[in-house]
Amino acid sequence: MATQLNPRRSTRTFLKSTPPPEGQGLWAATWRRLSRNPRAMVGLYVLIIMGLTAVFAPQLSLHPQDHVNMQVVEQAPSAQYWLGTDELGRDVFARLLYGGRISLTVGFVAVSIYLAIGIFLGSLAGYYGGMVDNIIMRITDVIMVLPFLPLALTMAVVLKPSIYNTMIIIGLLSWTGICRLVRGEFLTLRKRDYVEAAIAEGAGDSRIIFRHILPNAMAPIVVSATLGVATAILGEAGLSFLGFGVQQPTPSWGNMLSAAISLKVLVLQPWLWIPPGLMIFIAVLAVNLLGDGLRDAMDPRLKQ
Amino acid sequence: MLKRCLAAVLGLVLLFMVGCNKSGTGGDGGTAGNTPVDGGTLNLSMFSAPKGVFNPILYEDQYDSNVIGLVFDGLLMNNEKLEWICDLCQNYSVSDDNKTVTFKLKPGLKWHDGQPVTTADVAFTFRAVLHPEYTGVRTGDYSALAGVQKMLDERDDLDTQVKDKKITDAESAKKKMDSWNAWLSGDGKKAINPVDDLTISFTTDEPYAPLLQNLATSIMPEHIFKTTEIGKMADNPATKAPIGTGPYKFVEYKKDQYVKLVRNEDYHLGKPHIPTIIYKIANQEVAIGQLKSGELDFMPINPADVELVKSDKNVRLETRPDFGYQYMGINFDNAFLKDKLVRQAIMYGLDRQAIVDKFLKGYGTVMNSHMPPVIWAYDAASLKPYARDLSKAKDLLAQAGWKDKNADGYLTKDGKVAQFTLKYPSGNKVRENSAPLIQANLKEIGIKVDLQMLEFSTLSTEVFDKRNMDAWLMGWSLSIDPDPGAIFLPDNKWGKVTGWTNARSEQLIKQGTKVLKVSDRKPLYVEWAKILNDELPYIFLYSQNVVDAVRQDKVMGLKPDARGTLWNIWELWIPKDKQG
Amino acid sequence: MRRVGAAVAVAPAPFCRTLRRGEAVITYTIRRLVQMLPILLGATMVIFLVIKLAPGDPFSGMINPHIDPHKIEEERHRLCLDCPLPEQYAIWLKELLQGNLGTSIRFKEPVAGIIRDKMGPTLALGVTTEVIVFALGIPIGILSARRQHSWLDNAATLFAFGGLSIPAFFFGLLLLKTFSLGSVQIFPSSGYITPGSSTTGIAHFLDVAHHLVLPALALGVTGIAGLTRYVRSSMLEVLRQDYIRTAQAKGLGERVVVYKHALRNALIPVITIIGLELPGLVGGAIITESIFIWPGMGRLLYTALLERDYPVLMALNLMFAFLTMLGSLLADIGYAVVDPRIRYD
Repeated sequence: MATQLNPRRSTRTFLKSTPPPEGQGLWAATWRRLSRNPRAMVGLYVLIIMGLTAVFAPQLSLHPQDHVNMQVVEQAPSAQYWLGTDELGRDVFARLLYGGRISLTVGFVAVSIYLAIGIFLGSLAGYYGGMVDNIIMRITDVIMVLPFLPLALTMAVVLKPSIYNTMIIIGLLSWTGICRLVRGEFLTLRKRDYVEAAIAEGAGDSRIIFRHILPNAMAPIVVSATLGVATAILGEAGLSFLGFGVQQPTPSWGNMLSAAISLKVLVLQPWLWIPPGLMIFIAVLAVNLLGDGLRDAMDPRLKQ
Repeated sequence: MLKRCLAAVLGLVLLFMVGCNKSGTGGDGGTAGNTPVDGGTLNLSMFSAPKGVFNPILYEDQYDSNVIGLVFDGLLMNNEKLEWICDLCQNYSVSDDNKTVTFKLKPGLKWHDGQPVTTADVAFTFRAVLHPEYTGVRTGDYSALAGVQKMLDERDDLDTQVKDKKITDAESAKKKMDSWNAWLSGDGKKAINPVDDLTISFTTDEPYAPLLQNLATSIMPEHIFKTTEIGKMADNPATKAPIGTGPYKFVEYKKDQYVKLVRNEDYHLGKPHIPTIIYKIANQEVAIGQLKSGELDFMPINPADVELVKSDKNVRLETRPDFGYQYMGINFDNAFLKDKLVRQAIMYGLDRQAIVDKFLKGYGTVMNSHMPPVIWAYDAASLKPYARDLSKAKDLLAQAGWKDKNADGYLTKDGKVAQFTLKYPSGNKVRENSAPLIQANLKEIGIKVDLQMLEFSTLSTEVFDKRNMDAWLMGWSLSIDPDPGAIFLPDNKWGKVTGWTNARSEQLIKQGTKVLKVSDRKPLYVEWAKILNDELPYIFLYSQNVVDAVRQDKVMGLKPDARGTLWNIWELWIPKDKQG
Repeated sequence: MRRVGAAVAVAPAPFCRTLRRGEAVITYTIRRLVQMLPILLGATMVIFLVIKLAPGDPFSGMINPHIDPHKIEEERHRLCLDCPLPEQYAIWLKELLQGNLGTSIRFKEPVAGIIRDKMGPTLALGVTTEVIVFALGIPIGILSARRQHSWLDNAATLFAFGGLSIPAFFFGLLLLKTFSLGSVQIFPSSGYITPGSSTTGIAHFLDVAHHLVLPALALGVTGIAGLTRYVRSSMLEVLRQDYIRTAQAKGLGERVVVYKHALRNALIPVITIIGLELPGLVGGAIITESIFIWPGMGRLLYTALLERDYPVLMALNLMFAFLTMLGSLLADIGYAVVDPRIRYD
């Protein structure tokens, strides 16, 4: 199956748009290429480890994440509290592990939602052009001009504050950027010869969009997803200020970091801001490595 | 192309490095003597930009009042015991029936533009607040003046009729003007009575103790505003560029940047030593660095940040109690919280001392009733301290019928879990931290608290307009007069929010404003505070102290007391070597 | 073989063709601008609704025992805050059509003036930042792509993600500590002009520029981080296209290939981003503005939101709406300019 995917064959596949080896073949090939990319694998393993530490947070931490102990507030890291304690005497290490649950979920789910919407609408607009494009882009414009902050205020009262609502709202309102990026790529890619060749051969629209153009438009998508994860993780904390986000005492990297925003913490209590900042940094870096790897793996032109 | 860009950027950077290296600041100060000298610039700070509404009866923002306080004077001011003494007045007297106060102005007072200050200015100021077209929100403070409450009731009545579409806005406005004119030629004559250029008296329907405080508000220049309709006062240039009688004259407000003031050479308490004040808008975190580098001379500081400056020998810290406190409000429609035993149990269950010790680093007091320590009506000895006592809390809850039947840690009664949602506003770090502490504390006595943080205005609407809450966190900023009527009389917007009523409390509050002497009022307020201490319409939390940080190597002549750190601003001075 | 054809098509179009296209672009632009009006009108309706539906009003945040609740009700009525929403919208729209943006409820002065005051500093900061971002972001991105996995690429990657993960606040404080409040004091710590100074002309310009450096740097970091990634990624993508390889195979110098052929195609996402950033030029940045006390639109918007200063909120959002749509139009024109094959009907 996937083994017969030699370079020459793949080029032909592209030119003539004969269907590639069926079913999971493409995915298997992608995976094979991905698994040979050490950078991508580092990213993947890091994310897996982060996910596991979040899942097994109760087993890994010495203290419960929401245990308030006013006798030990703002303590520097020690054998008892590996990453010190916060203003309520809660264990920063435990909060960091549990925080991953919220932040990773928000980061990935929100980004998945907006990627799905943005890629779908952006592809349609860029591929069909004309009226379809005009309508989709004007809808995008209107969504973009929605004042996000007042909307968040309303949501805080109308909806029960929960991580799910947060993810959905971030997801539903942030797809416009990626939609425009994807459309921009599609506008030029659909005029490429190989696409016109595919059309001439009578390939279906969805096949052309998803098999021929999209893989070539992956570059901005991967970047947008990577940046999106960071923005969503940090933005979740900003939403809390407006009453719309994860509520106390549930930790998230975003709200740990935003609680630490002061000169005092920056100078005197680095254990309160470095750990969550570092986790976000590592998570985003890992997503980027994996994303870059995925893009390469999905690009059939790249030789191994 | 990149190289050219970089070169340009670098060039720009170098240019500034050469031109603008500031001379070093800080150091051990000079050999300043003790004789005040004139000169220098005082750099004050505020953490949010004023709106630029520098009009004593129109401003709504506390940052505007920073400037108003320097530019304007009132009839009265406080002494170090926070008693009312004369400012613009030479003396004042209260009539035997306690209904009339008569002020005699100091002769020779001048506005910043050189015009004389007369009682016409005083009368204008208070009449403007009562005028039907006045667009500010302070009218209620003067409802005790003769005939005013009647006039305000008529206005309310007209508003209701407009709401019910019985009359139009125009008709209502006309009727309000009619009733205003009727008042002016009737009760208004004695309510605000400028007897001559320097004598003015105010008369109330009933004796009203907080009147003195309300009459102490800043006086505005009639000659500037008289040509403007009261309803359009905000458009008068003097609302943005005020003219007052205070120690400093307004020069300019660079939006979001700074307010520049210069001294009033004719200030009636003495010519200020410092010629210029720059009131800088500063970021609260950055300001600490600016204070240490000498860019700022003064800032209020968060208790948590004190450790950043306390080792700096150039910085002097001044602490004083504040006229405010924080509380957890209770909605009496909530069946669980409505039970007094439950509220008392909550008081015993909370570690309020930890808030003061840890969040406020000791700069504060645990509150057990409404009156904060700085107010003369405060009497700690008469109040139950509710020191943390978990077994007592649990006993009280058991007494109220709440037991842990399924051993999940939470109490139940009649199948209902002991549980409520605590809503609190974002934006105040100590308050934000108090919420999870309350939650954790109450969990220990078997009460489940759900937390919901909301943006401030959202929370206030939820609580004060919609009453859509079980309990909420909020604070009050009080004034010197202890009258708690606006907050605890149940016919009032703020008072009715809890749903708590108590006949004795109402009686005491009303009595408290009808006698004027502190010695007569204090027992009433002490008794009243005890009722609150027992009934707990609020779970009282803490009162935070004000901590001010001043450059002591530069700002001389400080006499900090209950009035503030810089209250004697016209007496402050800057030594010669710091004037540059 | 066919790919070589593609490379030819991307090469700059002959002059006369550009001219003809130029006319088409103008017609297209006019049509889009005409279309923009009804959409903008619809957008104002949506914006108005969203803003008004947010809980609270300009007076709900005033919690003070000295505030007269009756007076607040009167003010609400006077400002028509108790009118039905369609009526309020109609009043606002009518005023807008007469060129009146209304009077701020909290500043008690015309909204147009408030915005005008902030426009200069906001544009100064926004434009400077964007110039820094594009001047550094594009070259760094290109270099990163050309030397993929080199130390420079790795450093740029780490820098980019570091910049994204550190809150703007910390970076701002760090800049202040390094260049303003520490032992090195070469830049002012706050504001956009020296307090009390009344300079004009070139001196004023230099004073503002001096104040501008730190906030523009602070703001620029995240922008550079993002843009570098986009440019690097698109360049990588384009560089492996066959026509580029062909060009290389034909012996064209690497520089020519990169800058003449590849960059042109890699610009598509950059153009999209420029379009997306256009409202940002006047949108300001809340955190950076509040650290450096920059009198910008970001803080104005934020305080107006917290205080529900409706006229200010409406005016700002209307402006952003217009610029968002303009950005979208400019991006479309930009695509057509860099890639002549793109056509709009």
